[in-house]
Amino acid sequence: MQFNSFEFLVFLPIVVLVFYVVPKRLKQFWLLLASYYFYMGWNAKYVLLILTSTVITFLCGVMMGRTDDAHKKKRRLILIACLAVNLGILIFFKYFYFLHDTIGTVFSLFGIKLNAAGFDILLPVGISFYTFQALGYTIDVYRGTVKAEKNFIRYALFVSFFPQLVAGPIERSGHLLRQIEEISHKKQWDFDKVTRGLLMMLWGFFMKMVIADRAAVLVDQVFDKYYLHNGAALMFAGVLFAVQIYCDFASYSVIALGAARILGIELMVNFEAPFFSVSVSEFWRRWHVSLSSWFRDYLYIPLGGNRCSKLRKCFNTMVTFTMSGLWHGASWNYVVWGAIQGLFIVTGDLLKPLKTCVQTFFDVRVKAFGYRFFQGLCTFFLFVLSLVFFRADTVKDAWYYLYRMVTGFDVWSLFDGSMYHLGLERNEMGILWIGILILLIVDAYYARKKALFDVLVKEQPLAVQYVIVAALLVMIIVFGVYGEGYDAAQFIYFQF
Amino acid sequence: MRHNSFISNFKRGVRLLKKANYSRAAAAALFVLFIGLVLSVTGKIVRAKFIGDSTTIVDGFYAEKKNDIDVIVIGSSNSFCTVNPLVLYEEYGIAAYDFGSSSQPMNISELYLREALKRQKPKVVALEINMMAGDSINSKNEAALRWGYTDIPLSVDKLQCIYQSVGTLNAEYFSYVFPIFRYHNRWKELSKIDYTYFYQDKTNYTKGYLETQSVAQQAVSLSDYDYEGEAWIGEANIACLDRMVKLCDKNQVELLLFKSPKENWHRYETEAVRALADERGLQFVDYNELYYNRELELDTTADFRDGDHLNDFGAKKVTSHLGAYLKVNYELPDRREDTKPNSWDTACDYKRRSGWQDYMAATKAEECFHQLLGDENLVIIVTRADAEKGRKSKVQQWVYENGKMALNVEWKENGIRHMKIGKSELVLSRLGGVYQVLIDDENYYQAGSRWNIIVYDKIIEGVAANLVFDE
Repeated sequence: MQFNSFEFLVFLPIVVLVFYVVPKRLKQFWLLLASYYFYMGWNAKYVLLILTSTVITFLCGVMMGRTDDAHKKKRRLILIACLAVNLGILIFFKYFYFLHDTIGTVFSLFGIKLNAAGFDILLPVGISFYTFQALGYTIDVYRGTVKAEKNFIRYALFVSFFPQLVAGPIERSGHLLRQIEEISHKKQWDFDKVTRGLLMMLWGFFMKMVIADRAAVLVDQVFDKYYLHNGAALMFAGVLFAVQIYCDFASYSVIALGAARILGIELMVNFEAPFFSVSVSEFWRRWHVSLSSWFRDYLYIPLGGNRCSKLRKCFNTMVTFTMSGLWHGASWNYVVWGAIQGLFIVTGDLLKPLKTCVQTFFDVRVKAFGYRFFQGLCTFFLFVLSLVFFRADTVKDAWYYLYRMVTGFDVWSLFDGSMYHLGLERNEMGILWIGILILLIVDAYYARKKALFDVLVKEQPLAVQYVIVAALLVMIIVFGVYGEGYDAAQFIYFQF
Repeated sequence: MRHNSFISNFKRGVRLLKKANYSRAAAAALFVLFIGLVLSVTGKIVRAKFIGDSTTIVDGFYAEKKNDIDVIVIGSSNSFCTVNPLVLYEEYGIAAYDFGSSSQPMNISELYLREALKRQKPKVVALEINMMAGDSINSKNEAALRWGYTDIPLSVDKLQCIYQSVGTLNAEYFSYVFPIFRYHNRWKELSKIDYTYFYQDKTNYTKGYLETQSVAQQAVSLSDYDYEGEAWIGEANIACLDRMVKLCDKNQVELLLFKSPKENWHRYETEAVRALADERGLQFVDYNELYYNRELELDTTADFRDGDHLNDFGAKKVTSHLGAYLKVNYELPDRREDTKPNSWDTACDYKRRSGWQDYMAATKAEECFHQLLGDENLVIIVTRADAEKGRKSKVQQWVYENGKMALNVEWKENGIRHMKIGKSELVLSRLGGVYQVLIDDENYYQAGSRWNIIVYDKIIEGVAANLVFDE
């Protein structure tokens, strides 16, 4: 079930109510039951997959926990087996067709045809998220940074905790398992926490239903027939796609954070106002933090990180971002998108001395608002350009999209009303701009104070808090894109 | 053990509640109230308004005085296009109201009956049974459900009825409970009436009847009444009828079934409904049968709006017949004899004033003006424009209220005069040499003739006539 569905609006209050009523020792079991029910809302069969991953990683954790340092080799073997099985499942379910097509293309060069008829693989929702979370735990146990969990219910809940099960944040075992363990003996109910959780959910629904799904109407229309539009429209759609994908993905994390908080569990902040970044590397420290830090800790650093030669560091960066691209989707355009991010960072690193020289020569005040704003704008537009590869159907389409964007740019069409014929008429566009303005205010607040929407609201006098909540609620209900006339768009990241 | 844990948890909850800060509880309650109010007002603004149809009918019903209606007519559009309560009142003194909605399924008819009996103690309920042999209550004709449910206030009966229609508790179900979820996309097309309607006077001066004088382009065919066939009446519809019978019995209300004349209604359907009526001891009047038996005169080229609905001419004939039937078969008081004027008197007055008036036939301004002066509910706005040779025309305006002159303006330069007339705002203006007579922001002034007489009626709260005369 999706967060912005009627089913979830019924499901969550029931889960919360029962959670606070049942005795402490049953709370974990209740949440596990609820989480599996939640997952079965998509495809009941695939619950077996998550159960398999859970059992395997749990057993590997227990086995590794029983081996001491003298049997490092054995631990290593267990880890490799665990990684192989779990990544095998992930690759089979997510990358089978991608590999089949890629290998098929190579084989066809030699006149050999591959035929995978008979397979009908449906991508299990959230497989990339829970697999990475479970593998993160296994690697942590291997490294000895966390103790192996011996209670299966607790561990199963860690892997399947419903608020973050299908679209993150990808939690770390040290952070989430500890909180799950505390459920059975610590007081969970905290009125303030619950209201803060509700506020976060409200904000998440606003981002998703008022901004993301509205922007999607224009983005879908332009990207689906990009060959009919001029450069300005393509650029505009690119910018709105950046807004859409941010609000879509961040809203899921924010709702997850809010729902978990209502249950007394704190999830990590997954998006830290990324559009306020002044460099691509900073952007990736703020965008999908749980995934970026996963790749950093479990891939980039094991590859050698940045404590190695410059060339090796570039290689590590490229590998990490290319894999990150592949994680997002089983298609070459995602791979290229990931590689472009790596390229941006590597180029930025290599050109750093030159940049410093230029800054010194022209006596640039690097901390001045104007300069930082310019840097932020450049970062944003680099991201927008790269996103074309993310959104286009194929790499070829992406290149052609960019080519049209550059060669057919008609600046006047931005001001002559043409933009109102791209799927969002004047009123709709007005609401979108208001939504984006509110988003910027909330993100600017985060950038300044490192505090989320709930803190921003709670800082206000009570009457203002009421007005904010009422205004957002009305905006969601009235201006939200849902119901007949619109298909409630899927959360984009579900199948990544 | 587990039982004890539940109890201890519950007790702890109660203790916590007691400890809780009362101001926080008050703030939370206030918050819920505030949010409820905001959403309720927003919902009223964005919801679709079926003006002239179910919204006007339903809101008009709730605007009626309590326990004031003697006959309530329930059913689909066939009911409120057939029975004209004003004809019933003028001819027989029967105080009736048409409380129906278009394509109304039987379970919604039952809901309307329940709602009606909460506010009124009628002596007779007349149920138009077109939908008995029509769609099942589970057919989910969205338009019919929206018309039927949108304006009925929330109640347990309504919730149960929606459940019957939708069959499950899902998003669709709640979109009927809270129409804002269905109509929120209307925010782009809202007009002034959407913002003002919910605090407007909801009095329905036609008493639920849908006035129309349009005539079907082709003569309506009622000749196939005798065709053979088999009537299909669903079990669920019969169950609805049974519950309505029980409800009427409980409230000591007589239930009368009737069928309006329409195309494609046959004797076998009449007989099927009559069998049901006889089993339950109900009276049933079928106007198709009466027409076929020549007991009712109808002009199929002039009395129908379309094949399914009568127009004002046809409705008058059927209503006259129904009125006579009601008078003979039920003990209904003659409300024309009420000691004080009632809302049917007001409605009849309203209707009279909205139609043709003698003063409209006047050929001279003076003649018209003198006929108007006697009515104290009229405000007369007179404009005289005298063209003078080689000069701009000289314009003078008078406003007469209660037979006396309330305003006299001789325009020599640009300017504005305004005054309150009834519930409306009148503005007389000359700006840039252009004259205007604005009533509630709408300009009624007709230039080009010597005299322009605008007649504002305080009863109908609008302009009753806008006449021009050359002399």
